[in-house]
Amino acid sequence: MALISNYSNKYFRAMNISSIKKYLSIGVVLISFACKREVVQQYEVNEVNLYTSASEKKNLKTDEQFISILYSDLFETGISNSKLQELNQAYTSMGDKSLVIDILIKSLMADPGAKIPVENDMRANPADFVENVYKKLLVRKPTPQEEWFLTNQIEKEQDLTPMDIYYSILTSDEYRYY
Amino acid sequence: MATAGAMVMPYMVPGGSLFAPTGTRRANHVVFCLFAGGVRNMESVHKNDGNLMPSMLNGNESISSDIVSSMSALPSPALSSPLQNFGTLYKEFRYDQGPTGHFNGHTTAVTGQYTNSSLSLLDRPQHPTVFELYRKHNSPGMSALNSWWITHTNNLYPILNYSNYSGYGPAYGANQLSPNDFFSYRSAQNLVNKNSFPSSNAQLQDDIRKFMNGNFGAGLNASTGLKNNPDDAAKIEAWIDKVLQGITSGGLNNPWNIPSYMSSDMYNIYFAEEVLKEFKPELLVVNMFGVDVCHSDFTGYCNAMRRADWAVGHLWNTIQNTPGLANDTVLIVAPEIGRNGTPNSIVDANGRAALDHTNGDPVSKEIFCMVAGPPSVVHQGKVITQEKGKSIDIVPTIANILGFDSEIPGLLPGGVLNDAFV
Repeated sequence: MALISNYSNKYFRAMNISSIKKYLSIGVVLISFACKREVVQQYEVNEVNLYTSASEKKNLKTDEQFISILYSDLFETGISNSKLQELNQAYTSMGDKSLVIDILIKSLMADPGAKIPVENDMRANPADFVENVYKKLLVRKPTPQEEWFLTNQIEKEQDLTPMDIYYSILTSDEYRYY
Repeated sequence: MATAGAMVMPYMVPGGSLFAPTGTRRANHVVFCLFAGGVRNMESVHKNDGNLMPSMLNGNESISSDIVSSMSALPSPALSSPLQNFGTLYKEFRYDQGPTGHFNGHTTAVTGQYTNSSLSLLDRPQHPTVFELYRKHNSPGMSALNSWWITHTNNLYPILNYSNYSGYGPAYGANQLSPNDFFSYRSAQNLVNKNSFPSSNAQLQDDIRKFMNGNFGAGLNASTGLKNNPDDAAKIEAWIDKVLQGITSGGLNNPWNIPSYMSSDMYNIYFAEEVLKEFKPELLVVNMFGVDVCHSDFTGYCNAMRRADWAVGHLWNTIQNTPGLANDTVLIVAPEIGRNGTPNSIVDANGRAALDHTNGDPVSKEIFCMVAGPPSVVHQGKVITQEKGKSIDIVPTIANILGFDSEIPGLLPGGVLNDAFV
């Protein structure tokens, strides 16, 4: 996997921090569920590796992983244990995971604290936006075909918003895997 | 949809495949209520402590004097006459084989197969569930919107909505919902405000998602579970939104106006009723669990049984007042297991000894089963007092009612509860 070692812009910076928190929060969650010892949550900024392609993702995220990663991707901070329990309670209460994920994503995206790029920034430089949203949410760079497709969609569809693109990616199959 | 008693002829679908014919149906809807948590016949149909189930059972036997003052106030039964008058009561039904654990009992109830001590609490059933049998062996195949598993808790029991059995699985599973958890106030607060996209952007979102999914090689595998088709998912989401609004506005606080409080069993039945009214599924299974307090509180067990009984009466009343379900629904009520014949060492405030259900003694295998339905379908007011009927007979009976039993020969060890039917 390619090693990210510098920041190119604000999206990149956001991706890196949130992705780092993502992995750290997964670790904290797993430790929390594995034993009863009190765990002090501490997040630090480190470098993160990107996948070189989507095909490297073979494992379905667990319930807790999915929720905590979703939360950190949207809020750029780790999820608290109490919030994780609340969201996980809903997640585990419905058999149709695609449906409950859809509901959870739309609910979290409605939170004013969700950090989603504004439309002006997206339209100012669609290619940068696409690359950064891929890095942030899918932890990889888009393929040339993906970058062309999404950039073209942004330029062609004036009604398309960053919210739409975030929602589409968060509800994609790939987002459920790592 | 076939009407009761009608024969559905095979037909060619646009794709060119020929569906097998569905057999004759006795009714178009089945509700199976697991009167669960472990109920002994002694306290239920034998009424050793009086009639604790006046919504379901005839009789005015007084509740034992030492516990009666501990019973919570409940409204009068929702039914004009106890449920047994609308159907057939098997007083000596049996959970014949297998450990007398809740999960074993539930698994047997939804698969029609007995289990043994090797049953894993973490694994899906090894045999097809009634939901899968129903969805796979109807013509045309039924969507998940027609098949619901309403569980008292989101722990363990949700995985009974489909099995690992080859050829079945999530494609034929039930919509599972744990309303007590999903619709808790805390959970509702997290879900009630959703981002509302302009409907005109739905196609744009779909285009991007399809493009991405097409590029992603792994795709969703069986471990991701049941998935409704988009139209059905939209219907369910709209219903959920409505319920969530009701919860956060306080409109669903004690909707039955129970003088004391609505127990989680009652809420589970309440939401099962809401599902029935909204979607009119052909198959719905719902469980209750409150009586399991009996591990430490015998009086509480009796009280929980009264609440569960009241809820079942309300359930039948709702069915009969819901167009599309009235006079076309068979309700089956049975505990998943009984409880031990001998008490443990815990004594409650009224001096009553508590009961477990773990030693597998004969008493813990004694349960009842009630089959209620339209007079043209189910014998009314019939009581079978001799030992007859087993837990494994319920799934074949549901298959028979919904007309697909002939499609699954040799798959189920039990038989149809024919004594109940006209």
